[in-house]
Amino acid sequence: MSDFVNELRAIWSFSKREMIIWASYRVNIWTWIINVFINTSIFFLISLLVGHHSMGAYGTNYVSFVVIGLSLYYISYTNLGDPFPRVARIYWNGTMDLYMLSPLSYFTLVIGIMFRSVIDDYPRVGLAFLFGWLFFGATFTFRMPIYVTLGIVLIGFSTFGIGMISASSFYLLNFKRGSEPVSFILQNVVIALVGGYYYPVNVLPKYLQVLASFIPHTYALDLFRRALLPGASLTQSVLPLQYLWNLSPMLVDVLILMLMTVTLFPLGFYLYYLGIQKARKEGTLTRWQ
Amino acid sequence: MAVIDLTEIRRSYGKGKKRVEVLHGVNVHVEKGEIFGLLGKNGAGKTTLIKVMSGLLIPDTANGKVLGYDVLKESDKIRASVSLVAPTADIGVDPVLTVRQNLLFWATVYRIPSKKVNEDVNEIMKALDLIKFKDAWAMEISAGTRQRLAIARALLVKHDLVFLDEPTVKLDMEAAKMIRSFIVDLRNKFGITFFMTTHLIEEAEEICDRVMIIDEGNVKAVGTVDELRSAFNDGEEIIISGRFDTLNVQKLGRMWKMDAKRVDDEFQLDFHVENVDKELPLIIESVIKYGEITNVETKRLTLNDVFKKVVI
Repeated sequence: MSDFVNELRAIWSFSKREMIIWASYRVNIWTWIINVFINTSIFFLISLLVGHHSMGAYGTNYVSFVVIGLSLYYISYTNLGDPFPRVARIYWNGTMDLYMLSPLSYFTLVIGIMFRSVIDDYPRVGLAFLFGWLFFGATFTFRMPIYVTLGIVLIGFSTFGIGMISASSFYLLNFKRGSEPVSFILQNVVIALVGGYYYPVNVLPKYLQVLASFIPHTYALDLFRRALLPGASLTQSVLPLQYLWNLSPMLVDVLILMLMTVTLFPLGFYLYYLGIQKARKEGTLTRWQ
Repeated sequence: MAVIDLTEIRRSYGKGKKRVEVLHGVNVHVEKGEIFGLLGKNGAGKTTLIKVMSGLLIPDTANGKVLGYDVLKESDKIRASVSLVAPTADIGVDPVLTVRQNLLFWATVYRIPSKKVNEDVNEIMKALDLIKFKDAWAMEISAGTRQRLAIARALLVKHDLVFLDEPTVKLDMEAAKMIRSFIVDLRNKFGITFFMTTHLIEEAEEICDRVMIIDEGNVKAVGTVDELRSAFNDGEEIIISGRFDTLNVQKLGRMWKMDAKRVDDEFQLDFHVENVDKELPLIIESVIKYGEITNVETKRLTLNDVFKKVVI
């Protein structure tokens, strides 16, 4: 059997294991559903304040606008925020040595150990859409399937690339005490402020709009909202780079996302590889048992 | 054929003034199918040595090969070709998976072909008496059973070289005996080479073909248990108690290298010999002519005595 098939088998095995563990905490399922419902409800209540004011280029319905923001937040929370704590977990419980003493590639391991969060977070996207549509008047259209698919793939890989940069800091920079600055600054400061989960980027001051130009979320949200929200403009520029280039705004989004993906994804994996090599030199691959 | 053939292994931790060398040019040679024991006090460098040999840790210097792979250049291949049992049973055992689910998971990680997974998992559970726990969550079973599960996990894939870091540390006598017997069986059946550390010197004496004693990162002794006994033997003792005349005790004292002391109405004669087995019949034959023997005791050098001489 080829190495690639074996790595896929391993990922499948990780996902099965994580599913069993996740489902073994039965209360999980209920808290999980309630959590998504409450989150969506909060934005519905906020949308009552906003009313049906126009969201400009993104149509007229704030709940629909936010459901997309919330969905990307769930994906980003997993892809960007999860690799570091998962690597930390197998360092502290000593399992890293055992995984390293197997034919598993360094990277399959990280993808594998992230599956609990994937199981936990990705389906929230579907639920957020469902609750928004069923209970809160969110409406969607599906007029640009290729752009949506491309956007999902590109934002998935680019945020995972950043997540791997964050995970690599565990070994490269010896952030072993629970948190690290890469994902904190990006996730909790930059993306939270200028990512555009809850408001369009063009309401921000210019200098924050420029800052927003450097994160993939800005382009993915712009792309998804234009493609999925009824009444959203396909031609009106919103982001700084869309004004600079004489191209369709959605094409600009895809091109920038591609550029970020081909930079961040390999960079994340390379830094993680360097981190593992450094740990093998220093003897810090796993907590000393 | 050498499974491990390494020389001049050096490894240090820390940088600058805090740098401490924990392995000082260690040489290790282990033949295929050997059960090789590594003894040493805590902090002697045993775990570091295992980590270097298994490819987990990059040594400062080292020459040679493990399983035919260069220890410096091909450590990825070494890592994929060896197994390790860590001293803490919980490592690699997920508490909310059943015993069987734990093993099925690792079978895939170790790339056991799909068709063989169930067969191999059942076989290892049977061998380590885990069948009756197969549907129990790992968090429900005793620490000893979890240790057996950890060993089952490592032995699930029949790698040519298995490192066992204190494999019986948490087991009761019966379970430890079972593990030792299983290790010997695996060696006999599949020719697997075991490199094990243990604090139980009797365990090394029982199953190890050869033993290495290290202290503070230096190899102090290496050889079979008999070779080590001979090398560090500065005399064994035969103690004969009995009723003898003082004059006869003096005569025996001129014939043999011995001490004598009176205990109640008997004499205790303490003969210092090189080899108990060779000299016991001769001494008995000699002593019996001079009085009545009531008791005979022998004191031989054990591996534990060798360890104490070398390390303490």
